[in-house]
Amino acid sequence: METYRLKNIAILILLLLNAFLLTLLGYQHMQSRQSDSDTVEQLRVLFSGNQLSLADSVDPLQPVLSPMTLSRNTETEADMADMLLGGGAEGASQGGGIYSYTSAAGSLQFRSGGSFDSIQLSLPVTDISDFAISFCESFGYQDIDIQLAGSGGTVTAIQYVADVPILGCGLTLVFRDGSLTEVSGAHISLENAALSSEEQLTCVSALVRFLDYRSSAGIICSEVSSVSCIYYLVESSSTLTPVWQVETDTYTYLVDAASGDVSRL
Amino acid sequence: MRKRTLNRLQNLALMVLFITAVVQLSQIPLLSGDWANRFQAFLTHSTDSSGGQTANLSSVLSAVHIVVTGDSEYGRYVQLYAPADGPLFQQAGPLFQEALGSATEVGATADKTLQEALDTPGIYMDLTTELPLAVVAAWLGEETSYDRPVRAMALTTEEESAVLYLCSGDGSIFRYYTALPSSAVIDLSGGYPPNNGFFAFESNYATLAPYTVLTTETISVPLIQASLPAGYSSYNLLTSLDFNAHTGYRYQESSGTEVVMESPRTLRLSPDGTVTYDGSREAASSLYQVTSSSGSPSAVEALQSGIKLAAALTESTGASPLYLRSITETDAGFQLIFGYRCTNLPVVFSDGEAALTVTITGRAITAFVYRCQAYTITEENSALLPAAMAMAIASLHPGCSLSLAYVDGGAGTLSAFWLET
Repeated sequence: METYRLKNIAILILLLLNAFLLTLLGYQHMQSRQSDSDTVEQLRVLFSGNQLSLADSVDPLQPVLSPMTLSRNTETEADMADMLLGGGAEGASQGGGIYSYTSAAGSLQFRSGGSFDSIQLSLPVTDISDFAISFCESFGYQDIDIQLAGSGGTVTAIQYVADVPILGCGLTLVFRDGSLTEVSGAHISLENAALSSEEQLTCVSALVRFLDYRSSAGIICSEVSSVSCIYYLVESSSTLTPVWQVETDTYTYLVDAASGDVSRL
Repeated sequence: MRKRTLNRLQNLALMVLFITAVVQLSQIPLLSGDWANRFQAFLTHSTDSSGGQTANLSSVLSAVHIVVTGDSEYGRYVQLYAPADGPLFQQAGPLFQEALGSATEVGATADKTLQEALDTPGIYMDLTTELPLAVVAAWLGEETSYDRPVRAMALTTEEESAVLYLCSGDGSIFRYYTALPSSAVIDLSGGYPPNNGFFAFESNYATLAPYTVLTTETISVPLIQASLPAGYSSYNLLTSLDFNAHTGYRYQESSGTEVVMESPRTLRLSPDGTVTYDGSREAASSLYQVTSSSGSPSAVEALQSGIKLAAALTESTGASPLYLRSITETDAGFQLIFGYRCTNLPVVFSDGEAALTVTITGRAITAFVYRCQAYTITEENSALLPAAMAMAIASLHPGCSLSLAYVDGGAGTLSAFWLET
């Protein structure tokens, strides 16, 4: 009986504690939202004070992506080579992290950083659009741009991961006389990728950095129309680095979320 | 039965309420600490990515000269003493790694062939010191079956795939085909417009060593302050060098040098910062043992043990970090020579001695001589001779190279000088 009552008392204490903590967290959450709201307001005032307007659709509170260290996936590379070389491609390591796949249609070379290029390729293709779309859908490429001229043309696309585009992970397919003749691009795999917990610039900080850059570099723009966090592939270190893509009414700029460096796309 | 059910419900309620309380506590910023971060990480299954395995080796090798040649007719882009963690090396290093890993030797080649190839878009890297190719490859994160000394490397684009040239200090040049596409080298070289950089062989200073990397850009380097670090003490050194810090087998010489003996090894600690060690091949401590996968250690394995010793010496005393100047294979083993570096420039002692000389005999470090020093950067700049004047003076001595370094005469403020080597 004593144990029963003690447990009831402990449950009551824990209930009160949870209620108190929940109230405290709720209060902190409200304060945080108020602080965020004030920050956004101050940012808009800062922008308007510098004759630069921030579109209403821009969400300065959007979260930043985390950097990722990638691992190579040779199986995916082999699958890509199979599709681009018409099947039956034989792979071989050339040393230095360079893999080469060869079939009767030509060769494809993959490097450790994710980039790939074709060598003397001639793969007959029945329907260029179907082929390109099928390849892109199979390997995560979106924003497909097909420019056809007769039996030839160019297809470009960019790889997405989790609905986030990756700069530097583009794809270019060149077709001539009904055959695929050139392939170049980069592809990454998220299998065994490791997230980094290093602190990155928030959207607000990135916009302030952009404002500083605009003043110091003397660039001309009057409106920031959109801001989004995307990835940039650093081939030399096989990492995905988050960058803030700032679209203005003149050019698009990138703010490195780690270093704060601003560059023009 | 009912009591048992109630008891179980109570236990369940206690557990649930306790866990929710802990979760909520971990989310309160004031009360959260490292435990909270670990708890959050456990809940979200996030992992931390750590740095690369080659970071240790890259930090001990000297800064390099990098020359990037683009399509422009107006010269080359030159960066003297580019650090391994700098953006240019971070781009160029992986290309050399891929080239070295996929290299197929063509054979020895003449200066003229290399100099013509250097007119194509490419990258040239002067290591500023000659090292075994195995060590250079390991530094780049690659392995190679070729064995030769390397002072400089070049990646050129006269073929569809990049061509690699390896240059030794004696002037011999070897050419290699690689699987690296030339487009990768061209892409990098296009991002570096000329900045008044050039090689000696294509300038008015052709009497200098032909591949001396030169620039007419104004070079500004700060003055540095040299001093014996505060951490230089017998206790710190004895502890880090795996000696008994409280040993009674020690005495002091008239010069003030403290001699510590743990037969068969002896350690001498001079008041001027010189540390001398003599030991035997039967090293008791793992610090002096060279880990080897085969009977005789390789150059890379010898270097790894040297790095470990260098780190023990510098970290225990607070001295400036050391970088490798040379590694030489001897009849009995290896000799490693390390020097200091500050603001990416080498620091040389005025008496010509090295900062650390390590002797490896068999599979053990049997001797070393270390000069403990710490360098700090000041706000003032060195009064450096203009580059053009230095080149003109150096060109009066045919065959020599030109380099920048701080000269350490003991202590005090050090300035950078142009040196003929």
